[in-house]
Amino acid sequence: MPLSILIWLPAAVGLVAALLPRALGPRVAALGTLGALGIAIGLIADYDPSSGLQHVTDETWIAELGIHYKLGLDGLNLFLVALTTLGFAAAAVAANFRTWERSRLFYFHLLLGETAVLGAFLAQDLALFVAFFDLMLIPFYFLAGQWGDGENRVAAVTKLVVYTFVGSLLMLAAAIATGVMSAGDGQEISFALSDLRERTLGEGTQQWLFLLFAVAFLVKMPAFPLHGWMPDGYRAMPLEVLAVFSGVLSKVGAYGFLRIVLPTFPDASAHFQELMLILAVVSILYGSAMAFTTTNARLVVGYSSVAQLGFITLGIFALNDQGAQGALLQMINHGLVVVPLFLIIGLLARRAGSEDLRDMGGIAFRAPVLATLFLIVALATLAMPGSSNFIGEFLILLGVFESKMAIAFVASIGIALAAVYGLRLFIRAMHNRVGASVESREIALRDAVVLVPLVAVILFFAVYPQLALSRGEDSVVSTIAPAVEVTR
Amino acid sequence: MTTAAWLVLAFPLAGTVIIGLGHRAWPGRMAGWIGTLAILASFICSIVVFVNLQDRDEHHRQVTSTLFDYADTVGVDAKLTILVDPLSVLMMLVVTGVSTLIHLYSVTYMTGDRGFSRYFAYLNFFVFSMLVLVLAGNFVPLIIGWAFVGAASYLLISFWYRRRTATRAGVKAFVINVVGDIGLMFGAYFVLREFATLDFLGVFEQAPGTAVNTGNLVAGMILILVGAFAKSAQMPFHTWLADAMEGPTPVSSLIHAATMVTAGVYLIARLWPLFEVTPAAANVAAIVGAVTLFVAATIALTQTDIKRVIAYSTMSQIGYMIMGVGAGAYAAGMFHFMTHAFFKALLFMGAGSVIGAMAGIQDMDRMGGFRRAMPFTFATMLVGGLALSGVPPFSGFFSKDEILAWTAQRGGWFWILVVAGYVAAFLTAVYTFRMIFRVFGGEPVPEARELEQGHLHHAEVHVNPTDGEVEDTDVGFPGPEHFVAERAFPMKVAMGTLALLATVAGALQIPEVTHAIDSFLHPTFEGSRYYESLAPSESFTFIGMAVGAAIGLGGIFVAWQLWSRHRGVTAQLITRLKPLYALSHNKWYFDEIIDALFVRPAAWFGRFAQQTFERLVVNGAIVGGASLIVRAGSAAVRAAQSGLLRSYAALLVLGVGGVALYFLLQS
Repeated sequence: MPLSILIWLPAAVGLVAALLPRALGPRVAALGTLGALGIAIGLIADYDPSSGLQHVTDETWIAELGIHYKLGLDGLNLFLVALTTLGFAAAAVAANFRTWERSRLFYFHLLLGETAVLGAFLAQDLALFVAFFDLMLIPFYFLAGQWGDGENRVAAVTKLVVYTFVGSLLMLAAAIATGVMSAGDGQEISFALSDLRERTLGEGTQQWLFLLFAVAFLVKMPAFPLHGWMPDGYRAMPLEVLAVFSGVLSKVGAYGFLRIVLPTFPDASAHFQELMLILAVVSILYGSAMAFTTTNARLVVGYSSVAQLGFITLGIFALNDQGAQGALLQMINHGLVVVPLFLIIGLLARRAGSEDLRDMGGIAFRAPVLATLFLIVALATLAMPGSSNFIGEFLILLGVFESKMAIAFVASIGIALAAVYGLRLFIRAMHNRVGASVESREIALRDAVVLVPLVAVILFFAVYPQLALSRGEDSVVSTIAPAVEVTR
Repeated sequence: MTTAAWLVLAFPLAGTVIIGLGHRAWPGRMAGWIGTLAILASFICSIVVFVNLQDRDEHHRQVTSTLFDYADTVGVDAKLTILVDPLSVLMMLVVTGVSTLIHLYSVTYMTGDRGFSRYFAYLNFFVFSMLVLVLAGNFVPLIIGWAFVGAASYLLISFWYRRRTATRAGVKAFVINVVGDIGLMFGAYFVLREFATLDFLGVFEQAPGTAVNTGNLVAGMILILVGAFAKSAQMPFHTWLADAMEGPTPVSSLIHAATMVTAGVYLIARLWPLFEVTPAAANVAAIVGAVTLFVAATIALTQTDIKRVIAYSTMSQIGYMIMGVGAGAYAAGMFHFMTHAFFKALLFMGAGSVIGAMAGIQDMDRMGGFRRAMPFTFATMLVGGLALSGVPPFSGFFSKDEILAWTAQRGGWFWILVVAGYVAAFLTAVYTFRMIFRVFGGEPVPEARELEQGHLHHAEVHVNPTDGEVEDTDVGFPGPEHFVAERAFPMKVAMGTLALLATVAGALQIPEVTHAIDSFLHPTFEGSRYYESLAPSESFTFIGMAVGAAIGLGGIFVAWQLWSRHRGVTAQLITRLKPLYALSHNKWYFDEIIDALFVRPAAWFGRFAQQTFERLVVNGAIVGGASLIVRAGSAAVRAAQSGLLRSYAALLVLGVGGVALYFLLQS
């Protein structure tokens, strides 16, 4: 029950806010996201790491097709849910400090998006997952298309939709096939993840289903070479929206691998392990190379995300406990740094009059607080030891080291490259000579209200990543156990 | 006792936070005094730890304490554990002690800099990080401290961040150190695979039981050495150190001479049980140390930037230490670490004083005759120079000699390393006194005359000598004020104390007379194959000392001939030995080689990805036929602009329906 409330609360608040007077709507919407954040924190406090799936809701939704409205919380999605509510709360509060055209509609879409993401993370039924996964696309299509700032945003958004839509359709077909084909003689069709895990498919069937799911998830992340929509799409979105899109939505793809693909298609996961690892390594190297050559600040972060999600994929397809634990932690970490990074880029752009690194420079002198916050986020982004991101990468590479050592060594180049693009972003914006039209000024209180708590969370996890690790461990180990079995 | 050890860590961290949060509020030099006091408190706690440790029984001088589980999951036992034993306590005492003096020096030296508070926040953070590194009792906190000192070093190298040369040097140092971190991390993986724990004592307990030179462990230890080499500026990971001289001079003194760069030495000594079962890796360390100490000494001969001369000297001296601990002369290596911290910090402080008198100019070609204008600086730098050159009875003489004598005891090809060591010792004396004669000897330059008449020189416009850019006055080198030791009491206290230590510290370990370091460190190295057995015989020791003293004095004599008695003769030498001069002056072309092998290919790949691949392949071919789909899609969207949601839903439903129907019929 608390899970249903959590999922539908944002959409409900969004609807109410849309009906309220224009002055009140945005405030109420922001309060709604904070309420969801509160519930998520309560769930963390209440969580019992030893007792598997919790707060389970299981209602029959479409009986004829065996589709259930089944939700559940475990170590695998606990912190992702929290990350989602945190990211959306930050975005909604930050958005409150700007004026939007048709603002009530804007918040309605934003909050509907939150509902969809939470639903996808909490769904324990494949069909329900697919429904929420597709629902995510709709509000973000409007958010990018109507409130975006790029010039060619219609083309950009269309590209995004086409990519994601193709992925979604493939996944939809695969999901239905999975449910139907896994039902043996005399068994009812079921999409419940717990059932699918028990009912093993033939190896050949697993393989093509695996590929269909993989395409959908890799597009969402995005991973090389399916990231073609990313540069245009990222440029088209308002930064507050992009913060959640990149920080939170991209994790749904990675999460899908852990939650659905590895347990349901264990043989295929093992079969395609090397392919996926190589794709991940190429994503890391290619994303990093793009990140240290592009001059658009938000694309630096965008391509760095391609690299970071490469690391996450790497951890997942290490197909062992260390890799999966690291991947899960890294999903949280990456979300935690990307949300403030995009918000900071917004602040920088307002000071420099452009998002181009060549126009920035020298802001630190008059803005030491902003510089310090940015520095902490930048160092966490490049996974400096002492940050939680480092523990994530440490576990991921340890996992790969144990399963495919050579790949781990190649991937480690990505760490050095991350140092290059991370520092480059920071230095080009904050250090060197003052840019020609830069108006250097300190962070305003209202921006600090959003950024400081986010940085505080980063620091908290830097000091105590064990909080997430200990709560995730049992669920991660048991969820990926089928795939680990196969590789043994 | 462990409480005191945790306090050692807590004070500098608290200093960072207090200075940082109040960066606007602290008036005048307040931030500097807070920073200095924080480190002093840490030093006092270190002494408490030291006394407590000595009170314990010889066999119980390894104490651990765990704060909490950091990342204890799926077979990885990363805990925030500290290990207090004689080795870490020695490091702790030297680090906090020297840091206190350098903080004190900085309180004056950095006065007037607009980043005064920021400077002390960074410097306190550095000391905190260094202490984390030193006290770590588990690989993960070790790596954390290791990376933190790298970050602090980056921040301080780029301290004057409006200088492009400074930000570039900072990135270079950071990235090379990240490569070292990666080495350390993968080394830890091999250790974890072998021993199933990351805890130092747990590993050390099992180490003697493993076979000698197993492939996995040798690979792991060599990777750990990559970390050590990167941090300690050993070849081929050394190119960042000379550029790091972009930082304020007290920073060069503390981080890039006395403490951080010696972390590699400490690491090898710390992990001796592992290196003793992987002699192949230990030999790599000894050889790299020997090569570095020689190459760096040859480079130092021809540099003209006073700070770079000392920087290459640092690299060379750390080469001695690495060679020593690689060869099993642990106590000697740590002894040299200690004396080097004293005399090298002192030399940098002296250089800072001279640079103050020159109003920021570091080029020795423009210096000269400061002997009378700066008697105190001259005297203390002379002490530092004599200690560095290995002249008895100064401290460097005993420690350097002990490394060479113990390494020679290994016999065989280790003799080659020892010979390299003696040759480099000669070069060391030459370049050190080249510096001293050029700066303090000869005719006084205008700046020196001005100072003799009681006025400190100030420049009208400051120009960055590297790229000719006019310095930024907001955040730029140097601040509006300059300081020389003669006129600043705190600087005098710091330099005087270090000069005293550089003179007498050798007495701790005079061969055949005192063994303070040996016996103090003994509990850490209990069970080592080399710790006691390598000790050279009496006659051998005295021959070594005689040779060492003769070489040091000989080098000084040569320097005197070349740069004091027959000034100008070096110009002829340069023309006659042109290729050799070019090799040395261009630092053996390491920057160029690394640039060609790594930096350029990476940049090329980036450009290729950016300009070619992304445009043609990703946005062309894959998307596709792509643009076709997009165009068709756009058209469809435009057509159904208002009803997009509906058409999407319809498509979805149609799609679902179609596929579902197919499978329902099939099943």
